[in-house]
Amino acid sequence: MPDPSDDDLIGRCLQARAAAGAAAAAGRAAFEGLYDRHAAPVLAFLVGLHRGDQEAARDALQETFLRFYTALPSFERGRPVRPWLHRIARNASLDAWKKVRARGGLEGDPADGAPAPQEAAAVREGAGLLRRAVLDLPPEERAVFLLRHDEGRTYEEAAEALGCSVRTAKYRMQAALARLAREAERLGLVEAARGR
Amino acid sequence: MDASDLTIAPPPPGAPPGGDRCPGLDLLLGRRHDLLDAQEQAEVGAHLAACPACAAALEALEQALAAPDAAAPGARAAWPGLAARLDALDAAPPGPAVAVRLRCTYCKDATAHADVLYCASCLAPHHAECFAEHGACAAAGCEGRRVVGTAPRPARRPRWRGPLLGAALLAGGLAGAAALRPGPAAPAPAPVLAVAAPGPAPGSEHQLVRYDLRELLAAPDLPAPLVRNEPEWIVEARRVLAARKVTLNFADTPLREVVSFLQDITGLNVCLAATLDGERAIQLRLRDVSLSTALDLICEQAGARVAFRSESVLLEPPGAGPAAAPRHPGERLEPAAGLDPQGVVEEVRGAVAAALGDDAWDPPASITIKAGQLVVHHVPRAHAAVRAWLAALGAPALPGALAGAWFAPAAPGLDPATSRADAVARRLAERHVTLSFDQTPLLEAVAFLASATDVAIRIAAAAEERAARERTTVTLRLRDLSAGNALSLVVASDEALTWDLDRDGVLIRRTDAPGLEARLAEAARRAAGRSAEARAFDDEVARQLERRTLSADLDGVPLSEALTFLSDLSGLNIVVGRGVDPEARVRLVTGKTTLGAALDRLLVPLDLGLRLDGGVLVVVPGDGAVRGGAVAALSLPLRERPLGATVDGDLAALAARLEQVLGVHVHCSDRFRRARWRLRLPAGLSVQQALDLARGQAGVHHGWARLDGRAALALDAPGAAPPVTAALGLARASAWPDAPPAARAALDQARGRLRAALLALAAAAGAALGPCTDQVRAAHAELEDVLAGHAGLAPPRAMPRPGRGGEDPTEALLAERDRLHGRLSAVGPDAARERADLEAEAGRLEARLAALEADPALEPPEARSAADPAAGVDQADPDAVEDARWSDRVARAQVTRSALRERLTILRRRQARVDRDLALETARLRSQEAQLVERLAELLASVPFADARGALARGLPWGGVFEGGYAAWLEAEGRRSRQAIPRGLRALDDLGVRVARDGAAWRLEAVSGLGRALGLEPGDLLRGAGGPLAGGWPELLGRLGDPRAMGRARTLEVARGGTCRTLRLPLGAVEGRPRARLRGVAQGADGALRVTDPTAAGPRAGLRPGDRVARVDDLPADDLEAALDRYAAGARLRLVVLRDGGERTLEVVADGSTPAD
Repeated sequence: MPDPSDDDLIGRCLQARAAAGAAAAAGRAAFEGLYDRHAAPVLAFLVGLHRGDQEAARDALQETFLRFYTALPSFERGRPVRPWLHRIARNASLDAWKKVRARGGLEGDPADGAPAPQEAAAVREGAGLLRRAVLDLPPEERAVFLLRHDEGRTYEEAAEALGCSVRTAKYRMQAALARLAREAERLGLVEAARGR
Repeated sequence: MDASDLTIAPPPPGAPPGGDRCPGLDLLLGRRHDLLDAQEQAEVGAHLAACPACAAALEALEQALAAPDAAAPGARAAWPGLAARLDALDAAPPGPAVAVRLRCTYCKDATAHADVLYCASCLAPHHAECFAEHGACAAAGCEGRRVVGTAPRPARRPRWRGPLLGAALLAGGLAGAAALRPGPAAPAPAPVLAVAAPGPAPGSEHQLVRYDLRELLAAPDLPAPLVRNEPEWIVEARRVLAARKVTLNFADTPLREVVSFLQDITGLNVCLAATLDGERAIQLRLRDVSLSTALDLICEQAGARVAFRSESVLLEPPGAGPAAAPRHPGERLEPAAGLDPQGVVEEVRGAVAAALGDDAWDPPASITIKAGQLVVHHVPRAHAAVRAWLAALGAPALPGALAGAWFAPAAPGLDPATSRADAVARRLAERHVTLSFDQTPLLEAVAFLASATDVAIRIAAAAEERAARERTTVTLRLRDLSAGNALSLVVASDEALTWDLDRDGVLIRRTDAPGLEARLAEAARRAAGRSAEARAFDDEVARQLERRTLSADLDGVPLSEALTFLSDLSGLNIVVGRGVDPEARVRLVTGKTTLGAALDRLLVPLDLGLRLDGGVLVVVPGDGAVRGGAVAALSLPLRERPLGATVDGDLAALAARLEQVLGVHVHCSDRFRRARWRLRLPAGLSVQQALDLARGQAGVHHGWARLDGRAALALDAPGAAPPVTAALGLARASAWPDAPPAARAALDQARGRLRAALLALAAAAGAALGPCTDQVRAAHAELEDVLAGHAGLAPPRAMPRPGRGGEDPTEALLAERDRLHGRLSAVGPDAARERADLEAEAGRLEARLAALEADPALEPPEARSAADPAAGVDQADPDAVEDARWSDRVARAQVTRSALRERLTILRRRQARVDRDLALETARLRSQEAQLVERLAELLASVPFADARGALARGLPWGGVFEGGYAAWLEAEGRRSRQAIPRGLRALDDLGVRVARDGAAWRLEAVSGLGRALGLEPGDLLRGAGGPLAGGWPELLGRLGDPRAMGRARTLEVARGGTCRTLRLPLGAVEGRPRARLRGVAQGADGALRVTDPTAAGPRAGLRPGDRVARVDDLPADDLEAALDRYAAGARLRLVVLRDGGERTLEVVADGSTPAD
């Protein structure tokens, strides 16, 4: 049996909402299916947004899916789920940051001052050398970059997820790439490669 | 991407020769991410194909940018937590999808959906009553006058009538049945509470009920909350009339127009009775007077009076219909103080909580007060409690009858004319009730009795508070008992409460609260105070008549214009009264004269008089007898006019004397003429004082009256309640600061008579009422206390006895003396500072004077031009100019110089004055101090040492027996606090001796501590302390405790076996001042000194390194710091120093300790 589509799963969740017992359990299973399908990329996106702070990203992931669950009835059926999730994720991460800042914990954007994460990729020689620079990008640019580069989303999808226009998304991507290129030159990565 | 955005990198080593320069890295990356246009895309693609270096670079970049592996396990790890939260979410009851809170557009308070009206044109939500109050939609720009609601609304505030109240009480609040016998079915008047929109919320027995509180809130401040019997609109109308100030100018205005003008500015319905002539012309010019005063004056001209009828202010001819409450025209109605709305809410909360338990107000129960309505959302039982509370607050009064019941309370001193006490008492006796209370709250029980008997039962605030606090309940079954007895039994359920008759009902009060007479006296006192205010107001205007001066040149102008002129000049309100022709031509030509004299000149030829009424001067027709005199009587306040020789005789003698002194008609009331009092008024009193005293001696009242349009003094001797009025008179008389001794004596006589009268009254009342004699006696004792308090006749306070918490006069005197010392020591430096300031100022002035004298610019120009070799034909002109300038400068310099000299002289005089003042002040303070010391000695010899004398009487010697010294002894024996122990005793303790009197000296009984260290022994005689000691304890303690010697060495003379030794040392602790220190030296562990700062006072006085200080004065100084602790900063120390095996004595002034010390 082919995997049910996102839309099917959402339909099951919604059906189970009103019911109890076995039907409710089935709805939960459907939601778990949605979670399994989308949690990993969303988490990766959130890790980026949280400058690599896995703990905070996991909290934000829970919050994202909780909101997703609550808001399912208002979801426009038939549309792709992922941009919507990204948007919720981004809002959740911004809210988490606001909460932290209200407690006087942090200054600056969601990531500033967060402990530098141990980047798993950074241990690999060569690979992921610029990831640190990615995490240092301004939040808007970082979000576009993560969606476009890591997730392979189109600009249209990224714009929808971030609540901006496609043009803005492209502009931010371009700015992000310019920064990264400068950082790469500063690190001497390219010269080394070209010299090879 | 534009071409200009391209960053061009130098060709890398591996670039194709002769080819284009390599594109920037961002272009390479941009190609991957669709950021380039088609042409750029193609170019960069071609370049990448041709340039392996760039391809390698791009690959390196991609690799460096590669995302870390997706944190799949991380995502899965978050699921359990999420699942738990989802479970919680599903378990939560589904709330309303959207919660919208409505706020009333008018009052901005939150409102419930069910309880809201929407403007029909803009749908703004309103409370029903808010919409009604505003009269239209309150939203900005919307004038909608129609509303739509979610449910049909009941008519606004339909009033519940009395029977409903009774029903509510019976149904809800009281667990019992009640029946009235034989009670005439009198229609109960409308009770306070009203109304409601009982709309039970679905699924709950809570009801929303609105109780109308407006009348309650407008009630005057009485001992207990009380309903004013006047309808709300009258209260409001009175308030508006009293509060609004107006400035009017009616010149021949028809009354009709005046009325419509008043209607416009007040918003009240002001109407003319049909029988009044609307065309009558009104002449009135007023500035800034209250509407009620203005209305009175208008009425006077129109020959009308004010009545409040048919929800309007009616001007009607006198004698038509029932009269409005008589009121002096000048009286100001106080704005109704009313109840505090929040207080009402709290009270109701408390009442309901008392009935239903502490959690009674848990949601959804609610209570708010809004627009004069108490809005309560609660269960029926709570509503019953609220109604009971309201009923207790405002149960209406109705007449009744009483005869011979055993509970009969005394109601003496009540004027039958103003009191309905008898009627109330009758009603309490005649009405019979059958009732059954089971654990019914006292307040509810009382409310029931109030409604069953139609008697107003007020509960004094303190009593109510007590009942609510104690949760007093009543359990009582009575059958067919008189209401008075029932009330006694109900009230008796709390022994701290009692009840008595009030003027128009019953008052329940605490037994320790002031009784009826006391309250009457208090009310009368307040009334007297108010009339004193009003009198002060008139007095002020009268004074202005004498103070304001003006000059006028009016000839042949109408009277009204002349008065307008005078009014404008003086700022006083002067109006034409009835029966005076405003068009009469007058002549007033005068130089500078007082306003009073001007008015006399103006009015006397026209045979007119002047009346002062509520601060307004009214010109009235006079006759030859008083013309001019009227003004004079008003111009001189009574208190400044002397009464003359002693008046000794009956009341008629007083009247005759007043007529003679004041020159006005004195009107005596019939009661006054009949009264058989004898008066004795000493000489040298003012008229006012004489009247006060006459009130004290004979209960004489006085007031200004109008008699046939003339000012007259009215005398009355009501005699209805002589003790009270007499006491008030006494109170006022004794308040004169300058009462002559003769008056005081008269006062004492009056007081004796007053007591006799009281005793007679008490005896009479006791004989008449039998069993309640004690109550009557207690009431009169209370009254007498109050009277004595008022009249300042309380017996002199007994000397405070130790152990009873009384204040110790000794300590007060000591404190006073310390204060004097403080001032004494402050006077010198203050004066010195002021003198130094003056000196400096004088120096500055002298310097300026000298500079002026030496100013080269003031030398004659000849001197300079002589030195000037240049001389030409045109020199003459400049010379003249120069001369002129010079003389100008000199003239100005002379002016400056004389001004400076003058200031210098003034300064010198001030200096002299300061010196003289200083000397005087010092002398005054010293003499005060001497007096104080004398009083202190007296006191010490008598009262506060009663404990000491008591101890002696019990055979306990003062010294030698008690361990721990005098202070401990006093503390233990007299239970006095340590601070209250005289400083002298503490000094003795400090010395470690106890003493006993021995001939002309004090024998040391026990020696310890410091005394022993000084070599004192028991048996030594203390002969002197700063002077010979010949007196008793007061002298000894005064010397030793002298605060001037605190922290300084003083001399003690101690004799032993014929030799006398002089000890020099400080005694007692240093209090409140820095302690002495010696800077610049430090004491080492071996006791030798080190010098740390050779410039400090110690080393400069001769202290060297290695010195050892043996004694400071006569104090052993093994521990130098401990010895210094006994001295205050600035004390002169005599140090005995061991150096090189010898002793030498150094004198040094101690430094002060720093806070760190």
